[in-house]
Amino acid sequence: MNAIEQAMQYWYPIGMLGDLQRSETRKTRLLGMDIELKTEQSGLISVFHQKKPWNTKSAYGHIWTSPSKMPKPLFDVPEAGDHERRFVPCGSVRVRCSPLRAVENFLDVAHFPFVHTDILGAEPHTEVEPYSVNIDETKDEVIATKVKFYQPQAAKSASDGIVTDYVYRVPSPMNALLYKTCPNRDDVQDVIAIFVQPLDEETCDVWPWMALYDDQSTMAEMIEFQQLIFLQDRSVLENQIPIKLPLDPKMEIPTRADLTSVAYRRWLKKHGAIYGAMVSSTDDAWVAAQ
Amino acid sequence: MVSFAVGLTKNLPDGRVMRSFVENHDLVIWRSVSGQLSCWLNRCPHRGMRLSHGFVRGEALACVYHGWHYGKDTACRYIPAHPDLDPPGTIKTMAFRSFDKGGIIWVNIDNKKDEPIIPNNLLSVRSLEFRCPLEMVEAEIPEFEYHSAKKGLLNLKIKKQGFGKWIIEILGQGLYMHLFLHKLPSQKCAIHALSNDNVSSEQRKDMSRLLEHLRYVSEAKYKVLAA
Repeated sequence: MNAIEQAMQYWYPIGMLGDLQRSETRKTRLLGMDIELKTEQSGLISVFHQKKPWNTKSAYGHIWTSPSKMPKPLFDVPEAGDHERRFVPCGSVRVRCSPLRAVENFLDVAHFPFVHTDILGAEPHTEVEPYSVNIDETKDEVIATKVKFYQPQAAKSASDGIVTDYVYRVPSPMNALLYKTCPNRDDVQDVIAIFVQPLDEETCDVWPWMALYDDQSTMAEMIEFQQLIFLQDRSVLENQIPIKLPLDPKMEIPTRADLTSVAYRRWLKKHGAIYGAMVSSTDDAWVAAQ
Repeated sequence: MVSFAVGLTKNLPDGRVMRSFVENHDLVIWRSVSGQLSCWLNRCPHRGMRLSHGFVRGEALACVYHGWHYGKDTACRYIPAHPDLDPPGTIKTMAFRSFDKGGIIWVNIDNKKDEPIIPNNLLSVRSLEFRCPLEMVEAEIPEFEYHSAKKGLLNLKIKKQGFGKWIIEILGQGLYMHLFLHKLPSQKCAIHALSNDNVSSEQRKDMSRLLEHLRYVSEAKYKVLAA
């Protein structure tokens, strides 16, 4: 199975449910293919590539599609059934980077003090203490637990700096979720996800989605907060060389703080999930960058 | 291999960082707080981030992504995620020979000794980026004419002085301009310009306008060609 065939087995987000207009056709792209997202007058949604219909489904505030006739099941987010939470789809951000780089950045806490200065992190609180990473064998997901980080403003609803606990989940190559300390409540965790639509190997639309316990902030405020964070990430993501995610361990140097990223890269390699990846250090684009 | 002019010394003060290119190498050029110049491959070995987005802390350049600090010897000195760790010596950037001479920042990607010949008493005029290939500008310079608003058509004596270097003499005014052409990616280029030192501020403005006109003419011709 080659890179694109492997990638075609999954579901991908291509739009926000609340954003679609009736009797409307939108053009977008997925895995290098032009597709049309059509909403009938009746509200029925369908997706076409070269006039052939693809599977669609609605989940987690978004429309999902897959080029495969028998896609792998979409991952489960149990918190999406918790009606005490507020569900916040944030729209999309276009990023000129590999979809895999976007996911890897989402799994990283060490950049908070430098990229999200005075919001998700601040010097001198830069240390990443040891945490655990493993593969959940039954669900086949990368899981990082016991991640802790000091944050000046962990969420829109946070009034003071707190040490935030994180759990990360990567249920499929281009989707990731995190569970973090809710600033208002000790007994529950907020959920933040990024769903990534790979336009091609070097361009993606990132659809952040949140399921929060926050009864103070308005929707607009919560979306604005998440958009600010992601725009800060974009300035980094569009300046990494090479654009594709390197999977050869010789190509980049991780430290202990990068355990999640290391596990993610290995897991991608094991699955042959290399759409958006650079597999070998003999790749021309890599040699040219040296 | 010769040394390449990549910018004017005065445009890179102490503690500042810039991005440049030589022969398609993406480069970061920075000056430490004490004034030491360095030129490296523009890539943090950790996660590939362009170091030209980074910031200077004392005698080190820090990557903007995770704050890794690299000293002037290219070695990683400090990893903020592990403040107590002494980073292994294998973590380092890739350096190219760079130096200031005659008001110009020079880079030599072969790291071989090559001292460009340039008078020491020149004044910086300015650096200008052109949205057209270097060859377009090189073809334009010998034909170049300039009408000064006050002085009318200037009598220019133009000669090439070796690789990417031109001298434009404005006859009757005792003015010499030294132009250093600099090839950039994506069909662009730059000119780093200096002049002799006994010029008035009015004459410097004139030279600056002359360069802008050269840019206007070169870009306009390139647009016609490209269309």
